[in-house]
Amino acid sequence: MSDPWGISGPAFLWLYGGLIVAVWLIVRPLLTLSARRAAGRGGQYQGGTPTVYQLAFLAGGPARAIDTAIAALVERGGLRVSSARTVTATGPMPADPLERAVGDAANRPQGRTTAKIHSMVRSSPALRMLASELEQRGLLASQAGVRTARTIGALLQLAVLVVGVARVANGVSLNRPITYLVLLLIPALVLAVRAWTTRKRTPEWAPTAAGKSLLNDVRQARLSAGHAASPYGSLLVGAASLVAIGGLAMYPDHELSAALMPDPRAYGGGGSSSGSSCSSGSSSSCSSGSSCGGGSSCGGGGGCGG
Amino acid sequence: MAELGIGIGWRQELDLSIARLPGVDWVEVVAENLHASHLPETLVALRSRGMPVLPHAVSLSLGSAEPLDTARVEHLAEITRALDAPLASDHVCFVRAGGLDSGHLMPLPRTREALDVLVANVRLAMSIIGTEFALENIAALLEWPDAELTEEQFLTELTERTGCLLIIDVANLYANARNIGTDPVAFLDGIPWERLAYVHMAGGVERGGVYHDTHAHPVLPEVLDLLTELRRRTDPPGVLLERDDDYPPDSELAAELASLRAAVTL
Amino acid sequence: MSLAADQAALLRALLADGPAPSGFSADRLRIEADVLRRKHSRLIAYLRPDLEESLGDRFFPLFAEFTAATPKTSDVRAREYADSFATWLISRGDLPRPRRRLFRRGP
Repeated sequence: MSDPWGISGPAFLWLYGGLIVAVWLIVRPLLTLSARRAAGRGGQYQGGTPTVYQLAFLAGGPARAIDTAIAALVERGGLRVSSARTVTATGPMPADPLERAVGDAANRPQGRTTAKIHSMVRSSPALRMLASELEQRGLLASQAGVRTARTIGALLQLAVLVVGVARVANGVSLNRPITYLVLLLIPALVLAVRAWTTRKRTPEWAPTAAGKSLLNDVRQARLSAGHAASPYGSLLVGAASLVAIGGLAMYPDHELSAALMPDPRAYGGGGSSSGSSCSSGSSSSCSSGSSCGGGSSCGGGGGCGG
Repeated sequence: MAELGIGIGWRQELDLSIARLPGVDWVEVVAENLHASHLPETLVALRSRGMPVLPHAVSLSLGSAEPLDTARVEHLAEITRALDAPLASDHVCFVRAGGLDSGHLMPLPRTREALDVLVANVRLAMSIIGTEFALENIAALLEWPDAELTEEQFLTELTERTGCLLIIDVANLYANARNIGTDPVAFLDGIPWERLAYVHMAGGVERGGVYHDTHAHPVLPEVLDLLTELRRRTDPPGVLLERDDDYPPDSELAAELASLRAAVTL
Repeated sequence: MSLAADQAALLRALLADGPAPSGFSADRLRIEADVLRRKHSRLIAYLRPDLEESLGDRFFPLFAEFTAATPKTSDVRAREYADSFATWLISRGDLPRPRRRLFRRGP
């Protein structure tokens, strides 16, 4: 009796295993990579000097853009930083949409931690607008393109699964041993499901070749003297541009940058106060009317439960 | 009372700003928000630079006819010691009654009976705290019927019978002038100024025909005028700006402090 | 009436829907009751920001209802009171029952 499909059972097992792995580890990533490279292949980008937030997005994605907006506001006095790692909006609402999103998030008397601000602003329209502006300028890989590539990759992984199922069905009808093949179907299924469910995962951001060369140009311009002459002049001064390239650690004021950096020990945005418990209570527990009365967050000699 | 200067209410949200604000000579901090065993670093840092840090309580309920909760007084005493403060304070009010907790400073009837209760509680509190103790006048929307004394008479007799000092809150005085018809000039004339520890100033807003002492708005010019009136009668050892909410940028805070300083500098 | 009784009556009127004690302006009592409720609600919102976030505009009216039915007594700590507000909300279906998560979500 000749082998089904012309391939012997054990040979198919090896081929199939290799196929599963190859699609997962090689074909899918290659598809995604080429989609990223696709945009802005020209190398030169069009449209004047980028804004500091566009630069930040290129250098460090949405998180860096948010950090830069925070830095800009702190420098201008639109955000106040406390040692409990919270920021509070002060003064008039900013005009820039990203700054406004940060200002709205920080608009609570006891402020919010920078981590919480990040989680709140992450999904704001201002960031989506930044990303699409950069895509249009050919500086950021088109998210649509990447998503298509991932969908194709997922379909390929599904196709691999289908091939295995067909082989099993074929084997059953021919009364061939299928135990090992069925076992291989498990990882095939798991990976196919995973590929499908993650095909639209939170878009990563990836600069194109043009985007990377722009970042490089700005970094070079920083290093060389005579900023005034550079076409990137506006991007070379101010705390915001320092943070755009280098992150919050680059904020020029040490005390403030220490208070702005997320607490490495904290496990999440959480509440508005860390550090000494209750000492942040004074504003909200004692606002309005002449000061607060008993039952304030730390009434009695007992603890506040933090 | 030693010279304090111009101060600001210490709040965790403002801690870095307060440390850098020009024109801050001292701070006052709400005692109930502190634990003696782990005071906020930024507050301790102010103390280490020699800045006076004075505790201010809001929940002793010294005007309550019910027995004084000495645990709360002991907590205040502990904080006062931890801050090495020469003075602690609370308000002329009651907070709790009949098992209920208002969470607010409620006005007392200005009767001899109420004064007797207050005097007894203040004496007891002072014996526990050990340092100088000051009481602050509050803003009241409500007025008890059948008052026997004016507010300034009430406060004067309080100081005479207990030896306590006074914190005169000029914004509260303004609020009472607006809301319950207190005569601010008569009040200022009737206060024993040698008993003054310091002055409170704060912002508020008119809403629904009533002045609300919010601590969330800039100080009204009328309240600044009252401070100037007060200055004609005495040179206050200290003036404190209270801000609890809706914090303005540092530049505005500095400007408010400067205006307080100008109002008491002749 | 003694001072203690008078003070208790005033607080009951302001916090527990008690009768207005004689000699007080009804209008002012109403305003003061509102001031106390709002101040209290801000404290509770500070202690349980998750509740404020989940309820949004409904936070204050729901809190007003809760506190009228169950005013805070002086033996209950503010945090406990905030938690009992949360329990009340869940029992009425105003807040979904918290789902157990097998794995803690990251920051």
